[in-house]
Amino acid sequence: MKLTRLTRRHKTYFTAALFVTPVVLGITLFKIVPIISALRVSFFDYNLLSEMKTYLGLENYRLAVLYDTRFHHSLLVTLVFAVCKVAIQVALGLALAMVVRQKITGIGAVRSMIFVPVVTSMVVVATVWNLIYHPTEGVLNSILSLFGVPPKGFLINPRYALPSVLAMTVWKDVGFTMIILLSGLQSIPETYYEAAAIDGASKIQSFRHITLPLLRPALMYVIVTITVFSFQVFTPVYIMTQGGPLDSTRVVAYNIYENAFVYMKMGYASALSVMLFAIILVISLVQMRIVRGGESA
Amino acid sequence: MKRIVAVTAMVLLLCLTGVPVARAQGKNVELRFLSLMREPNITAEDTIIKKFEEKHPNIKVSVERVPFNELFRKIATAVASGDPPDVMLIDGPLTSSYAFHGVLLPLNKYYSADDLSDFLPSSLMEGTYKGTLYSVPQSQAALALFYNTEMFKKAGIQPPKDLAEAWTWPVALEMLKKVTVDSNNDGNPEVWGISDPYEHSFFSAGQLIRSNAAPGSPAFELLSDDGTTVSGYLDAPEVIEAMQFYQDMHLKWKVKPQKETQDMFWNGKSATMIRSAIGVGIAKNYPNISWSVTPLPYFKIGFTHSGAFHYAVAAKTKHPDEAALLLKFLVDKENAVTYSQITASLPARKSAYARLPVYDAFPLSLFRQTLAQWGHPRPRTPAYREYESILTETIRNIAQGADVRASLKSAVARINMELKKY
Repeated sequence: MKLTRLTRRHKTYFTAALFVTPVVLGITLFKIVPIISALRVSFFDYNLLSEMKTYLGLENYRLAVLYDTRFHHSLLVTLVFAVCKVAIQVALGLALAMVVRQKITGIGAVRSMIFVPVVTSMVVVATVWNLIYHPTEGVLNSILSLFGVPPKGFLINPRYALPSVLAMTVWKDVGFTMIILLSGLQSIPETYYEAAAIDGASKIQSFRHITLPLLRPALMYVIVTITVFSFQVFTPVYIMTQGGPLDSTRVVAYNIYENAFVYMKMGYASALSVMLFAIILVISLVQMRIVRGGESA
Repeated sequence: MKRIVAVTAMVLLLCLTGVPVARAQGKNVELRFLSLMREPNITAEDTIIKKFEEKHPNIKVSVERVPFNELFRKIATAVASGDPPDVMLIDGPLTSSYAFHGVLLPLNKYYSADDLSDFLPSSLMEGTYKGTLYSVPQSQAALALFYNTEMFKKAGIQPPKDLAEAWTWPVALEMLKKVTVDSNNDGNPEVWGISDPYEHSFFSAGQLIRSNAAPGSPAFELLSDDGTTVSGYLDAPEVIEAMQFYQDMHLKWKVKPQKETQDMFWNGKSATMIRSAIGVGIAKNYPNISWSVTPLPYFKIGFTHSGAFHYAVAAKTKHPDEAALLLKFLVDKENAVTYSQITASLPARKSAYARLPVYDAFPLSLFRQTLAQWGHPRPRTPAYREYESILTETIRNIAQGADVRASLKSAVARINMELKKY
């Protein structure tokens, strides 16, 4: 009797392991091992082309923190990008979620349309937007000219480049935020709103006192993930601006890429990556703390 | 459950047995060849490789192609992972960088002095690092100015056809202003005076700088003799002057766009275009555009950057002899002719010119003469990758409005730091 139960339990474990193993293997192989090796490499002077590695200790970190003004600048650019991205995308995603929640005919199609950019490759999207933003041939300037607005150099003017990249990424990613928040909204029972309405609560009051608090877990997830991904933004910058004009879109990930693959300083680039990793970790922990703290209050 | 185990076991068994079968059958060698994803290069190389495989049935060449921007990264990561392609296309001036790091196989034992004497000396120089040959030229390059004959006829301008009568940049500028069309005056011309598919690259835009100085002077050399500094070179007065002109072309006179669109010239969006001889081949795809070529404008001396792509063998190849065989075949006397016939690029072999009379006739003759009389290689340094990247970024920033002096000053500091590594 006891034996059969044990084997059954073993069987369950075995099946579970079978499902989990590919993912664990994948994450170990493609995430954890590279992270550990990056950490190791960050203590070396390691040129991508030669096998020679010289141990430097913390020298790479010291140089980056004390002297690398391009790195400091890239941190600032990334911070601005991330803060704006989170604020705009969450607000817009929430607004869209409220809209597509309505039971109107054809709303399913609208939902899908908003979600299409999410499943499209960033490389494709960035290339298309490169054309849309083109100063002379781009469709955006053509539309603006209909309203008498002079042509703008969206990606070649340092003032517009970062907002332009930001707008494109928000457009691409907002569908995902919308879907998460939509599922959050749908899990709030309708009866709460009915009760509030009977008590004479206005729409704004219901939103503030019912929707927002109950949406907190979904909001937390959304804010943390957008922050993490914003700090790692690379592809649109690589394709659309190469960090320019005048370093206005030099985000940290692009700066790391350049150190690694243009200047071949793999050790130094790894040190920058480790620092980026630490920064993202700290920010995520703080964010979770804040959101959770609000929950208990 | 049993079924899953059985299936897994079967798959594993099949995989395992498959390996020795493949090995037993194949004494054949497979060579990995990395090259550029760009026409007409693809057609030309594929033609030559097909011939190679027919001649050597035991060698199979598997070709991988990447866009120009990815080429260096692809090679660097392949080298870092210890698994580089056997034969690869590299940017000629990068031979020094790769050779410095021991990435390339020395080629001297595969070529006799007599073999080598057929290559153009400047190409051989580009493929040599510290007296050892590491890469051989696929072709050569020289730049000229393509122009739209209809637009110039309408403006009443007849551009010169000989190097001796070539326009200087100030003269060319007045002409470019005349062919620029901005009918609604929004500062956004419908037809630009000049376009440049090499977009702000040192290869192309660098000629403004170097043509503004005498050979041997700092602004011409752009790197100290011992290769340790660019102070006093990259920030010389002639460089500042030329770069100011370059900026004004984009921002003040608005004859050149800050951002190119693909094939602007061939779509009638620009009246002229800076391009190598390859443009002559590409022109066949655009029969509706009537075009001709005029020498590249200059400031003080006629100038073009020479140098093009080279082939090299990875030092770590498992089949050095077969790889060298393929490399030699790619650029032998016969295939140098084939390559140029398909791509219209300038051959890097003297014997090819004798067999290709088309390079004696206009327009290709202009490119040939430009290379011979005005051609200069790019600065030679193992830090070329870093040097070029920083310069190209600086030139682009200047075109987009960055302060010329400050940009060059920062470029000097950054390049000096990179040079220190070597």
